[in-house]
Amino acid sequence: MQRTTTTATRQGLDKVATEGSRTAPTAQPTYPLLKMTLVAMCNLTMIYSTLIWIPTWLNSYTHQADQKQDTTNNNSTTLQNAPLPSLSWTLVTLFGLQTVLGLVQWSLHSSSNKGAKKSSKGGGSSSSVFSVLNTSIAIGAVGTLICHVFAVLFGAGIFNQAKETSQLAVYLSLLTFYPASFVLGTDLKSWLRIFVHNSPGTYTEAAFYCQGMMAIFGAWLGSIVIPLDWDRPWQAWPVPCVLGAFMFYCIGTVVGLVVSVVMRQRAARNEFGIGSGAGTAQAGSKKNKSQ
Amino acid sequence: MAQRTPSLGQAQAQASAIPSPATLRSRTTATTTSQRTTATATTTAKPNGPKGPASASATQKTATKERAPSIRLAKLLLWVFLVHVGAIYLFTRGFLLSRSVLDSKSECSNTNMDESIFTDHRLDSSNRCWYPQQYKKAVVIVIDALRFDFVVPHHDLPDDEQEPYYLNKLPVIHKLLEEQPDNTLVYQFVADPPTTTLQRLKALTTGTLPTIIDAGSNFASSALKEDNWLAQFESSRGQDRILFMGDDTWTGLFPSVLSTNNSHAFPSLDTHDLDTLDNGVIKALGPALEDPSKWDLLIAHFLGVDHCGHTYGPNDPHMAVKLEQMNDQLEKVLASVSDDTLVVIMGDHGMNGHGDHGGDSDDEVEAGMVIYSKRKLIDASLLDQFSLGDTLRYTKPVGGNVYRTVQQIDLVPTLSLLLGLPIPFNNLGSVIPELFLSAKDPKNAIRDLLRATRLNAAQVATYFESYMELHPTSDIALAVEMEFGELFERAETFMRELGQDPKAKTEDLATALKLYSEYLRTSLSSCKRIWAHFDVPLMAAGGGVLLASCFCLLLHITIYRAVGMPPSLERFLAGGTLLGIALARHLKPLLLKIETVQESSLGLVDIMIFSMSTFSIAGFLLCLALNAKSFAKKESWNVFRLIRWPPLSGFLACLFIFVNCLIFASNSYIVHESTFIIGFLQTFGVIGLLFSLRVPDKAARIKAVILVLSFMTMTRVLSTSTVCREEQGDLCSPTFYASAQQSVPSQWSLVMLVGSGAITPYLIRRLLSSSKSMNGIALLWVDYGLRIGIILGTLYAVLDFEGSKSDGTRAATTGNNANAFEPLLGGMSAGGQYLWIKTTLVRIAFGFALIIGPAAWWTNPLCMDIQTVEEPVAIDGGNRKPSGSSSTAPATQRKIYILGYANAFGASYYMALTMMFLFVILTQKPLGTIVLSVGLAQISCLVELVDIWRDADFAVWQQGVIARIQAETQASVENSDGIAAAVSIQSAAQAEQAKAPTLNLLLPTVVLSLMGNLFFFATGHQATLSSIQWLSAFIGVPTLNYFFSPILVIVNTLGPFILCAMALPLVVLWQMPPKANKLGIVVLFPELTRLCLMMMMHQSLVLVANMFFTGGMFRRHLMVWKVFAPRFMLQASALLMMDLVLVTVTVLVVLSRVIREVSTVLSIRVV
Repeated sequence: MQRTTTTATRQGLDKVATEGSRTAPTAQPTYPLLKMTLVAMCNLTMIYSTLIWIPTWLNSYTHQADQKQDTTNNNSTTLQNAPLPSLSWTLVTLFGLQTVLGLVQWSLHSSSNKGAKKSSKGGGSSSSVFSVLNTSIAIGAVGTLICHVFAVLFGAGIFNQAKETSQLAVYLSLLTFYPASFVLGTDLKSWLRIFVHNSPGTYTEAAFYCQGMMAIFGAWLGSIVIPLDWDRPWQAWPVPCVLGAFMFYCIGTVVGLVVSVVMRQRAARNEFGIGSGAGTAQAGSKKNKSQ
Repeated sequence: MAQRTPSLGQAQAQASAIPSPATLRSRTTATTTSQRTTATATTTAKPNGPKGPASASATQKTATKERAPSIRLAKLLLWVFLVHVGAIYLFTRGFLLSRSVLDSKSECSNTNMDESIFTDHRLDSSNRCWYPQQYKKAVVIVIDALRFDFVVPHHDLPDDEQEPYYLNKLPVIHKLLEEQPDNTLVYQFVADPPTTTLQRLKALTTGTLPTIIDAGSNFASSALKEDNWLAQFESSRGQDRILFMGDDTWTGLFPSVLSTNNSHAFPSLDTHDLDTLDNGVIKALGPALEDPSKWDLLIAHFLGVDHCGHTYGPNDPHMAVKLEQMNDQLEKVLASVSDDTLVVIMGDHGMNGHGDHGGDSDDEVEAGMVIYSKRKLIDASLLDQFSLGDTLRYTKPVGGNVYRTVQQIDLVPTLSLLLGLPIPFNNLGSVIPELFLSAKDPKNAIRDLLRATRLNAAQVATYFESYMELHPTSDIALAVEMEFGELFERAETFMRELGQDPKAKTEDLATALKLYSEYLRTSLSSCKRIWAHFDVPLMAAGGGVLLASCFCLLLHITIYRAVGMPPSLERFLAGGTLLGIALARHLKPLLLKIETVQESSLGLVDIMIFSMSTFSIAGFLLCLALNAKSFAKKESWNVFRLIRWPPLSGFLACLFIFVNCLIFASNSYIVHESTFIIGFLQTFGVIGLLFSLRVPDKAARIKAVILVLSFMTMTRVLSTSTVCREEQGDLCSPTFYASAQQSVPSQWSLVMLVGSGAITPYLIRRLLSSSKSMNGIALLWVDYGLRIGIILGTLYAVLDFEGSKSDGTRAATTGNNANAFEPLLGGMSAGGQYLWIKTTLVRIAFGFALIIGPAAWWTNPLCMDIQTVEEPVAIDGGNRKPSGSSSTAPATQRKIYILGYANAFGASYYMALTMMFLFVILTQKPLGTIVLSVGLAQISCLVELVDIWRDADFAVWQQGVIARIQAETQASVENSDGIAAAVSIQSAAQAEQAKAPTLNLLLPTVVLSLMGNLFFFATGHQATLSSIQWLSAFIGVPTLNYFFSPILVIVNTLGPFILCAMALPLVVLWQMPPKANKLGIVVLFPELTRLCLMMMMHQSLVLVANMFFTGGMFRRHLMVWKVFAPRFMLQASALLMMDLVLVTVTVLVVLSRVIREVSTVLSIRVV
């Protein structure tokens, strides 16, 4: 409440200042455009295939095994016809693919960390694959729980349709928390820095940030169509949110790529000393944004 | 805490060493909330300093001045309120149906048609009016809210389920259907909405369509002026041949026909129990049936079923008891009537799942009607013979059978002609064919029916003719010309060609019949469509004025953010208004030149209101424009501020408002609005979570996160309290009442009520103690007044529940309803006994909330206290003493702690809020009380959060300033000496101080405004007429009182909005210490003005959107009366209520009192 600067609080504020202004480590000067694009392409393919192709394929496969039916109809509307089983397949495959991709990311990240300056997170670089996997799964589970709790807070039933809600939670967690956990690990401060203070440091972090935020925003936006009385199958409970998350995840992937290019340019300018106070300016702009 | 703070305060005083003129100095630093709750003051031991008198006089002078800002704010808000009233008036006049009433009466001698075609038969009839009299006597039994499925037998119920209490409880009718099928006709009787009793009685006697605006006059029924069959009956047979018993709505409608001689009227709205009225009717009915020579027309109106529906809902044991009682009465009536008597048993409307009515859901509209006569009514073969099947309509199978469905107004011409009366002049119904196919003369049956139908059609045509004469440009006239006028001509031509030929073929007669009935049906449906007559220019005027006022508010909010109201704004507003009044007369010819306006029914009053609002809005804009120049010089105001991207919080506020407006673009969103409100609030919660996680101070951060999470949890918890509307379907399960079919609270809610009543005062105490404001009035009010009030309210709810449970005969189910409170009240038996006790209790509670509490608060509104501590002076530091104490340095120093200083405004205001809170919860149902208690907690959470964010915002800004000054100092130290650097730092710090950021409070304001909606839905309301909790009219008022009862219902319905509007200043005032700047001024009013205007703007923009979509785009929408119009009414009344509360209670009473008192005590000036 106090509105005057006095010496009494300066110390405390200094501490706050150091804590708050400890912005991200500056981006690496060498820009791995190819790598980033590849990762983004992988992401897009993976999410599209897991949501649309694989359940459809599996479904048509089982249908063909069951009986010779006209499967064209089922092919196009699997998620709509039977969201529950279809989403289960999506989640299982997405989990597997995200794990593979995450481990690749982790190995790249740790190797680059070894080569470059010391990473902010503690023992992440020296741990084995299994411990990383363990941590990530644990974080993913926690993320699922958080997503579920927030879905319930936003009005999803507590007991009613809990399965569907949990599927949405798992899906969101697989898009946001789980992949990011391979790189960030249990480092709470960088989680907060990226997702709360909106200041991702590295290109990878920027990608996670954009994808994650967009996916959650998409899920939020998707819920708008639920109450409309159009009686369409894709208005069933988790489907609009899942589709929204999917679409905005794709957008977020592209945006993340663009952001990382922008970051790179900024970093390059910093390096050549064009914008001398770029760091503080950046922090200042962030603050403005957060007002 | 008390031990720690003094040392801190002392250190502070010594370090700064600047004595303030008022001998009070607040601490300038604080890191935690707990520390800043007390202000310390160091003074000398001498109480009478040299400044004593001076400061006292200064205080007096400021006290006189201080009223100005709050009065000015109230004036501005009052203007906005008046503009809103005007805009809503204009729009409502254009939007709500208007139908002009024709006073003409039908006469026996004049049938308006060539009757020669039918002169050939039945000349014998002596009592000859339009149609030969068929029945000498009639018995009309109205059973209020007799739904169709109550009447008809249900034999197809599954065995495993328990039969609902309302089915198969009228076996007498089932017996009639089985044993005398030719003497009994059962109809589904479809009413036109609104399904309120007064409206239905009007339609049942006059045969007209209702206008929606009449729905409100149910409370004070005024005499019916239109032509009706009751008056016709009176003029032909005399008053003493009518006998009436039942609901006094009838005597209100027909005061000249039903006098005390021939009627036994009982008050309907005053009756609480289910039996008083019915027993009265039964008492009167018995002798009347025994002596049928005394009457020709017997009307009995039973109200018990309706009462039972309102009180308990249809599926309740009481309903079974009630219907069985009705069954006995019907049996008696049917047994005692003579051969020439027609018996009509009908419900005036149905009831929905909760037993309420008023809307237009199928359950509310579909009543049942049974017509019985000892004479044979119908020959079933005739209907088939004349192939009338395609003009008749049938129900869906009910209970395994299909029944005929007729309009409610169809009874009017039928009954009139059967009793030998002329059809009422305004009637739009058509005769029910079965009753005119007289079974005793099958040969001429078709001719009889044709004759009746033709009379009916001629009457309707006459009505339209006279309507067209009066309103040649109305839509109805257009429709007569374009759509259905020619149908009558065609039928008449056909009839004339057929001529008088008595041997005319039956097929030809049937064709003529079809032509006439087609005319009747088409004209009725056209009228139903058109009589939602919209006056588009008026609607546009209303919407435009409201939109313009919103634009004014937006300008004020964005441009004058730091300055408050521009000077002499009131004069401009008043001048504009006066100019509007003066010019209104000259404006009329100008306006009428516009082509579209000519069609509308624009009166001088409308033009006056329009011009007043327009000119005062123009005055407002002019004032802003004139002052913009000077403000541009004074502060760094520029045009770019308008164009600039708004800060995130303001942007979100705009986004919330925008999306909230878009809700009205679809009826699905309006139906599911309660879920959308949760979405808004939880989105705010998530954003708030991000804000809170960014708070630099750790303790504050944790507190903020906890507060946000509890805010979100409470929102979710509140969203589980629902009373569903019909359209929500499976997506909603009602929890507000004990079950979907009942309207009594559940026992769990009573248990929770006791819990919440115990917790609420405790939590308020905790909240105030956290800022050390638990002093003065707060001690008395929170610990005693509020607590007693809540306890009394709880007792009332328990007694009410118990009373309603033991009321009537509930022997069947008492066994399993063992309640926790029953032993307590074991001594009392009947429900009537509770009435006195509970009325007294709740009256005392109202007294606490409205008289005792406010009176105590008014005399001493502050929650501050002074604590004096003697301490030895520490001389050793070589500190400079405050001036005046150097000569006679005492050994001890007296320290005065002002407890509750930091929250001086907030705590005092909060007290007033809790008084309003108590008033509102007393009018609520038990679960509504709990909901509002949680709501109060939520409001407290919100204001605490805003406070934490404000501090964090300030800290972040401060840290940036310090960093920059340090950088500058380092640069300057290298060049010059240290002293100059220090001076420059100080001046820089002071320069920065002026630019300290103020947290954008627009988002919390919008959230608070939305919380009003959340609470509204959670307290068991919906945007439908039938969800109004009419029973709250009797809380503390045993008999209907035309002053208190409407107030109680309004507070019950709009209480949530009242609370939120009243809590608004807390967003600014909570934890805002009255720390004056160097001039002794605390700047509060600019921010308060902005927030009040923002809340008004939010609600009125939502109303504009509502008007636009309802009146502009969807006025021919299928759902306009079902979904859009009730929502419009809700929004309009919520807006007006919030405006009213903001103007009167919030600003004019509470705020001005709080600020005057605080500024007097602390001798500061608040602007």
